[in-house]
Amino acid sequence: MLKFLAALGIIDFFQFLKKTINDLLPKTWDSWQALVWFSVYSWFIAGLAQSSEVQIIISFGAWVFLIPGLHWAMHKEKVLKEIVTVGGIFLAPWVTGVLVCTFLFGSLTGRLTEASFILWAPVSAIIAALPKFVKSGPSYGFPDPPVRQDLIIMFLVNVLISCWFQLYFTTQSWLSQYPSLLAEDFSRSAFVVRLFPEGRQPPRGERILEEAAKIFERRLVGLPWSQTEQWLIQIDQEMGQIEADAIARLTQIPENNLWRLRAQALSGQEYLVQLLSVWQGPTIDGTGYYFAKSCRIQRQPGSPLVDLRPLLEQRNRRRPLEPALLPQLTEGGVTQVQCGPTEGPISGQAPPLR
Amino acid sequence: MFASLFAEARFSDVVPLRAIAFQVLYLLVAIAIESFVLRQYLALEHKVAVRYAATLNLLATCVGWLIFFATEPFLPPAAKTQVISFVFFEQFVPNLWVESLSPIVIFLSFLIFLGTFLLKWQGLNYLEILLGKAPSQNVTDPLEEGKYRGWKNQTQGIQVNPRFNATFVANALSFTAILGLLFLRMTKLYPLFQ
Repeated sequence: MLKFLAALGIIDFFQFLKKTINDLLPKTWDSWQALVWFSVYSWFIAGLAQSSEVQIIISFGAWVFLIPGLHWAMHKEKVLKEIVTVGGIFLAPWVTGVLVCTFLFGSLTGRLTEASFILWAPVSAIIAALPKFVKSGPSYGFPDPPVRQDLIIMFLVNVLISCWFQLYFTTQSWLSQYPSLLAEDFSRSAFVVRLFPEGRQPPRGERILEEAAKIFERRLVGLPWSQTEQWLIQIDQEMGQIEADAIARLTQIPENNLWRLRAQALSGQEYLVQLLSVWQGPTIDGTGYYFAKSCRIQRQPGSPLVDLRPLLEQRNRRRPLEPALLPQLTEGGVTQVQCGPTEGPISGQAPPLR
Repeated sequence: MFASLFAEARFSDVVPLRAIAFQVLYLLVAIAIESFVLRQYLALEHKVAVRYAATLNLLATCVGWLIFFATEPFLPPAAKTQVISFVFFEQFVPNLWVESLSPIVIFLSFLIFLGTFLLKWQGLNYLEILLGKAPSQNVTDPLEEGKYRGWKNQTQGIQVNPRFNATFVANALSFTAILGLLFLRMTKLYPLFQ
């Protein structure tokens, strides 16, 4: 039976487990194991605490034990030392740096901040450099010139890494200020790559156009036909207000200034108005693109009484219906608007206005 | 620059890996060229020259990034749009600023060249002080200088400030090489560098 278990490696496994547990248990009080166990104990107690203030204070203590504990372990334990040495470089300070930054700029602030990433490399470099300033004795002093030169280069490399993190977060803030850029192809960029090219998001032009069409309908539906015709003549002036109203309904971000709303009425017996939302921001080919939506504006003769009731009850009308208009209504009929689906994005310059 | 430092970090799959790759390439090229020039001009050991060149170029790169991050939030929206367009699409948007862009770019390039040169020159002076080397060779006794002025100017004119000359030549050569690489990227060999 024992032979069978040994053959399976189960005994070896249990012996390994026993040895590992033995290694993890502190032999003396001044050992890394003691510090890590203090930390584990503090986390446990923090979990039991009711109020969040107490939790914060106890977990603060837990971090204070954990960071030097693990730093010590990485210097002392051969197995850990081999794991954190990559290409002949002992990376323990950078692992400790992760813990320090998570503690200072993540745990204390209550959220994962940009600072914890940006300051990681310089903080780790300082941790790596500190032992070089301690001389046997122990006394403190500047290291010898060759060591100084290496420390300067190491610190500058880490500042450069920090700049790359800052660049990443700068591009993220641009993308959140100009989210329509996420619809674009970045293959020509000398700076960024997209890790998942299939995950493109649609630009916001469609949203703007839909809001604009709603406002457009609300303005015109039920309006006396003669007024509608007048309104369509000066549509260019009216669009400024519609653009402002449509954009006011979206999240307020800098990108909104790069969208232009345009409209043109194609004349005929009944009118066809084309609404365009034009992107004036950066694109891969530099020409921009636009979305288009066609709205048919028709005269509906119908009985004025039937037409008037929903008209008078309609909320959100911009202009109150004056009684003086009523005769006109009976003569010319009222306006009906039917908007089609949004087309686009259509790349290239938007067609010029009439 | 510091306002967003303690904001919650945002992530997306758009990562500046190309910027990092190109930066490493340009740094290696610049360090190789500049270490050669510094070794020739300042009679340094090979290893020392490489370390000097690495220090100076890393310093210039970091200072450059920091200036960019510090000025970027204060750019007017139209200029910011141009920067974004350049970073994401490597071209400019036809907006108000596009007319004045080439003089701005030329002026900025000149400023960057001058700035990196001054930074490297002063950086080299401070680096040698930090490393405990002879603080500076270019400070000569004023009396002595007066005495031998005529003779010195004729025979040793170029040697008066070796660090000034060395960093200037080194900077000019590495800029030329990097511009050449950028030019290659823009022209026929574009797919190679993608």
